[in-house]
Amino acid sequence: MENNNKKLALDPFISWSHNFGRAAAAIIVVYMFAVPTIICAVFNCFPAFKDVLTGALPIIAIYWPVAFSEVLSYTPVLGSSSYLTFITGNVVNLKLPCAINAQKLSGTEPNTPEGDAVALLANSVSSLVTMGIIILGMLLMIPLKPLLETAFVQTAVSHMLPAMFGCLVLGFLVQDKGGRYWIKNKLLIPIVPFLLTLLVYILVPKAVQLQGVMVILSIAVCLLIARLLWKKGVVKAVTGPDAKPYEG
Amino acid sequence: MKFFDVANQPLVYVLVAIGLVLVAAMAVISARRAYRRCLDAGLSKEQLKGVISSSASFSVVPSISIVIGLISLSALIGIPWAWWRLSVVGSVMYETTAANMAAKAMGFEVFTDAPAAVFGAVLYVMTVGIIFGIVMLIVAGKPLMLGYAKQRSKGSWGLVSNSCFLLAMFAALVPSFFVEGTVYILTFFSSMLLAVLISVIAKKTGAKWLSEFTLAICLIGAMCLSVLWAGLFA
Repeated sequence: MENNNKKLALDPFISWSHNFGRAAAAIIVVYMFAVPTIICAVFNCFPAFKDVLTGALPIIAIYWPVAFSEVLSYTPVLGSSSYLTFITGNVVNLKLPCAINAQKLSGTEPNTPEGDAVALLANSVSSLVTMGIIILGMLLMIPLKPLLETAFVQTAVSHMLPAMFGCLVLGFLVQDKGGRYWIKNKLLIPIVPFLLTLLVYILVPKAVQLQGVMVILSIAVCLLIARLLWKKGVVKAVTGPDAKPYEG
Repeated sequence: MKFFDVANQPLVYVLVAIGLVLVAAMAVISARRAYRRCLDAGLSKEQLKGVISSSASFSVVPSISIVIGLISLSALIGIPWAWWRLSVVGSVMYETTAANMAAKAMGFEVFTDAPAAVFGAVLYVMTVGIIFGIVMLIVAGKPLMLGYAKQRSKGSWGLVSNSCFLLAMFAALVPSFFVEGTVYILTFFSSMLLAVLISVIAKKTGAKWLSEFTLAICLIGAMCLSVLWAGLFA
């Protein structure tokens, strides 16, 4: 077991990915503050500290806890690709589904070096595509505006998330018994958290805006139920055709 | 100077462009390194081609929704800063809300007549508001993720617990569609049905390449169907 952990922690790609990701994130953070500072210095438009505070406090109150819960909730799936994913943003509505889809397509698992590598590859490509399309959108904004503001496009776009997640969820409802292993009866695990979350959303509709927090709570309930079912032998990891030995 | 005299200055475009070149370089370096690691792990070039084309095709439609966000956000804070904020960190939903909240907190509905210093304040406010997640990742990301990976390596229970994260995410996100109304629910199931159809077609015709585009096709198809459902039930 110890060997296994050491190997995991010292995988050269994982190590590189964390070092590069942290350095890249630090550079971006510095640059994000450098841009306003340069603009304010050049155009002599530094704001009063009180104005920044007045504007920032309501946003911090809502978005810092959301950001905290998003990092805790989505890093287990994104692994070391999280740095680039969070740098380029649009996590839930683009990068997370993209990473999940890529891992599913390639038959890799989250929290493994190859799963992280596939997620990083997918989200790098996705980021470049998005940056390109935003540039195109900016250049063509005037001719595109009437088209993008039609009722058809507005309605379609407002339903993007269910359109995205329907397909993704189906991929996980169908038990894939190929690969290195599969989890027997895994669909028993999310039933209770699903129903509990649904109940919370019905009783407190505003909780929908705090999905990151709901994901954390759901993880806790899922782990608890999985542990109980695993101890009773109802849920277990079963080796598949491409099995590699694991301890357990 | 007024708000938009500064907001649409060429210098703002230049600074944003430099930042985006940096981010693009990071993405290219990451992609190259990840590609090599995938090959080392035994994934074939064919599989990776599938991952790349699937990721690229899937990203188009959500990116168009970001462009729609760009149109509304640029009317509020100018094109270059909207371009930057929608390309780095954050999300289309956050940026629009944050810009509106910043405007209201400073006593404005729109910034047309606001002085340039308000633009300065908006730059800092939107940056401070979104920075927490990325700073948290820099500080706590590595121990957090190595912890998850270590947990996964703990034999049978490790594998079972590792599968919980995705299941938990779906269990928390999917119910939100069910409380949003009939159109959301029908769109969700339309996407599922399209995925089944594509899978059947791919199996019957042997067109394996179709699976690479399943997510993109389901996304576009279900979004189009949502317009039909909205016409019928909204």
